[in-house]
Amino acid sequence: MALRTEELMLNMGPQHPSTHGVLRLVVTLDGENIIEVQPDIGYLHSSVEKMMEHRTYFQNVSLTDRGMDYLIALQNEEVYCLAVERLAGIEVPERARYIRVVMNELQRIASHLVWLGTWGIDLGATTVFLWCFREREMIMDLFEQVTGGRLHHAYYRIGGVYADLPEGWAEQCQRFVDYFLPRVDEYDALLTANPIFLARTRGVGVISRRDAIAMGASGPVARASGIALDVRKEEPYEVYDRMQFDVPVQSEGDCFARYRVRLEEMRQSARIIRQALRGLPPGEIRTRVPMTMKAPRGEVYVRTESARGDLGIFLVSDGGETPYRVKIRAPSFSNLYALTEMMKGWKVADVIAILGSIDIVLSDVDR
Amino acid sequence: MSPERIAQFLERFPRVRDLAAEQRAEQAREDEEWAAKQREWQEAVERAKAEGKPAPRPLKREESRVYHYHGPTFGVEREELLDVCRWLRDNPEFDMSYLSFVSAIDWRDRFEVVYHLRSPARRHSVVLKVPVPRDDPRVPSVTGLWRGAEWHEREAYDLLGIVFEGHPDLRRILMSADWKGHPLRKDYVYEDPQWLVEVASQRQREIAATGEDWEGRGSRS
Amino acid sequence: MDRRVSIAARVARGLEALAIGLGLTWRAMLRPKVTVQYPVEKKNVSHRFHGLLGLPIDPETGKDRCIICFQCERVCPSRCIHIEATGKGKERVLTRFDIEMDKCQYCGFCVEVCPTEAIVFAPHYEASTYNRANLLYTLDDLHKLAPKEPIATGIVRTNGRKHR
Repeated sequence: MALRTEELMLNMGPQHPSTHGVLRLVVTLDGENIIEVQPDIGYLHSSVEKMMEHRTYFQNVSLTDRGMDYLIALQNEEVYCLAVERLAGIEVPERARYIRVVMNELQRIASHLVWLGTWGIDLGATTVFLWCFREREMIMDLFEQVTGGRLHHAYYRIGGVYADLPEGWAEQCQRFVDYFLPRVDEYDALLTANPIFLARTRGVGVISRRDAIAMGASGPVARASGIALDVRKEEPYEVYDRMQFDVPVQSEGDCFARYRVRLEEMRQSARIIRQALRGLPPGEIRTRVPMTMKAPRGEVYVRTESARGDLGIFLVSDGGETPYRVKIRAPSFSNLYALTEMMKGWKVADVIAILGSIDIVLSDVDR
Repeated sequence: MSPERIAQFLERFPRVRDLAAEQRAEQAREDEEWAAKQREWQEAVERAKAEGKPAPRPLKREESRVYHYHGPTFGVEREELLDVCRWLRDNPEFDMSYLSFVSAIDWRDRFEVVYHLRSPARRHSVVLKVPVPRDDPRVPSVTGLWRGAEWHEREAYDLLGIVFEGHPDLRRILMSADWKGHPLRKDYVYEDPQWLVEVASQRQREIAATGEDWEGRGSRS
Repeated sequence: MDRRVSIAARVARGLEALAIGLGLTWRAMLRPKVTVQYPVEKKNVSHRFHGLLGLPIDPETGKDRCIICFQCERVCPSRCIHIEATGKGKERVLTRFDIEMDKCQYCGFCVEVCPTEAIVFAPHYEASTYNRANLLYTLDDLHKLAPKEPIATGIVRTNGRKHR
C-alpha cells in the first residue's frame, strides 16, 4: 500500500547557529527528502553601495572593510583600491604591491581557517575548530602589528598601503608559514580519513560543471566542480604573475571536493607568501594621491580572486569627488544561488553540511 | 577580445554601438582641439614677442569630458538584447558561458542596464550596456540563457526598479517585500517604513508613561 | 559507503581512524597552551593597535597639540568628530572636541591626516558600557585616555616624510 505523503515547509533561520549569519532557508520537504530550497536573504543588507556614493574615494576604503565581506577585509580593500587606481591611472609602487600580495594571502588563509573550523563544528568535529582558531589568532596578531586592526584594517590606500612593514615582521611571517604548513597536514590527518566526516561529505551536495558555470558559481565552489579558473592566473593583478602557484581543481563537485580544494589553497597561499616575502623589494610604499582626489569620467570593472571567489567592483565616475555608482559583484551571492541546485534530492540532515561547504558570508551576500 | 572578433561581432549586429571605439574617437578629437589651441597660443606668443607686447597667459587644459571605458564595451538596443546574448553565448568563437553580473546605472535622464559576460574557456569578457528610458524601464530577462541571472535581475529590480520581462520570479530580494521605492535611484528619498513608525511611537508612549530616560537605565560615570 | 566492505573491515577502519585521532590528541596535550584567560589575563597589543582615541598632552607646554585645523573632522567617514573653537589667530582655543565613540569605526584616518600628531590611538580597547551616553568622549576624556609614554609616531612616516 502506497503511503500518502504531504509536503512540509521548514524554516531554517534567520537566527540559526548553522547558517553562519542571518540567512533564512525555506526548505520544502517530502519526508526527509529535500524537494526545494529557497534562500531568503537581505537581513544584513547594509546598503554599502548607496553609502559609497556619498563618501569620497579616500573614505570609502574603510567602508569596504565592514560593508562587504568582513572575514576578508583586506581583499575587499584590494579590489576597491585596484578599481580606483585603474580608473584614475595611478601607479602603485613595487614594494606596496608585494606587501598587498602577502596580506591578501594571509587573509585568504585566515578566512579558510574560519571556514574549516566552523564547518567542522557543523559536522561534529570540535577539535578542528579550536585548532583552526589557534592558527588564525596568530595571523590576527601578524595583522595587528602591520595594520593596527584585527578584522577591519583600513590598511590599503589608493596608490599603495598606509604604513611599511614593521622591523622583523617579514621574518616573523616566514616563521609562521613554516609553522603553519605542518598544521595543514594535521587538519588533513584529522578529517580526510575520518569515516564519519567522509560519510557526511563524500558524494553529498554535488553540482555539475555545467550547472556551476550557468549559475555563476566561482572560487573554490567552481574549482571543486572541475572549472580550473582563478583570476590570479587569468588576469593577474598586483604581482601574482611573478608568483609560482598551482590552482587546485577537483572534478567531483561534492562537499568533500570543496574541502580538498580549500585545504590545498591554504598550502598554495603559504607558498605565495614565501615567494613574496623573498622578493620584497625596498622603496616607496605609497604614491602621492590627493586626499580629495577626483577620478576622470568613466567606468571600470575590476575582478580579483577573493577567498570566496570572483570578487569584482564595477565603479562608475562622473568626474566628481565621490563615486557615481558602485556595484559590488559578490562571490557569495552567486554561490548561494547555486545552493538551490546543490540541495535538491538530499536529506534534511545534509542541509547543514552542504550550506557550510559553500562558505558564504552573509554580509557579502547582502552587502 | 581581439579586434578581429570585435569586427566579426559588429558585422553580425550592425546596430550595436562600439562604445570603446567611440570613446577613442572622442579622445582623439579632444586631443586635436587641444593641439590646435596650443598652436594658436604659440603663434600669439611669437606675435607678441615680435611686437614687444607682454606674452598672453599660458593655456590651461580643461578637464576632459570623455567617458572612459576600460575594455570592450558595446551599446545594445533592448529589442536586440536577447539575440545578441544568445549569439555571444552559443557562438564557439565567443563562448560567453559565464554571466558575471547584471546591474544598472541611474543617469538621471535614463537607465543603463549593464551585463558583464565572460568566457572562462577563451578568457575574454565583454560589457553590454542597454539604455532604457526612465519612464519605461523594461528589458527582456536573460534568465533563459544564464540561470545565474535570476538573483542578479531580482537585485536590479529591487534596488533600481528595472523590470525584467519574462523573469520567473521577479520580486524584491534584499529589501523587505513592503518596501516603497528603489533605493539606488538618484531621486530616492528615504521614508521610515510604516512598521518602524508604529514601533517608535509605541516606545515613545511607554517612555511618557514611565518617565524613563531615552538613553535607558544607568547613569554616566 | 561501499556495501561490499565487510563489517570487520569497517570496524578496523574506524579503530584505525580513532587511533590516529587519539594519537594527535595525546601529542597535542604535550604542547604549550595557547589560550588566554581573557578578563584576568590580557593580551598586549601592538604599538599600531587601533584602540580608543586620545589627545596627548605635550609635557613642554602642558597642552594638547591640536591646532584646530578641522582636518580630522572633515576626513572622518562616519562623521563622529565634532570640533568647535573660539578666538582668532594664535589665541584660538578649543571649546569642544567630542568624539562619538559609538559611531567611530577605528579606521585611523583622523590619526593619519593630523599634521601635528595631536590625535593618536591609545592602547585601550575595553569601551563597553551600559549607557550609550557614556560613549560620547569629550575633550577631558580624550586627554585622560591618551597614552602616558611617548607614542611611536614612526608609523605614518615612511622614508623620512609623512604622507598626505
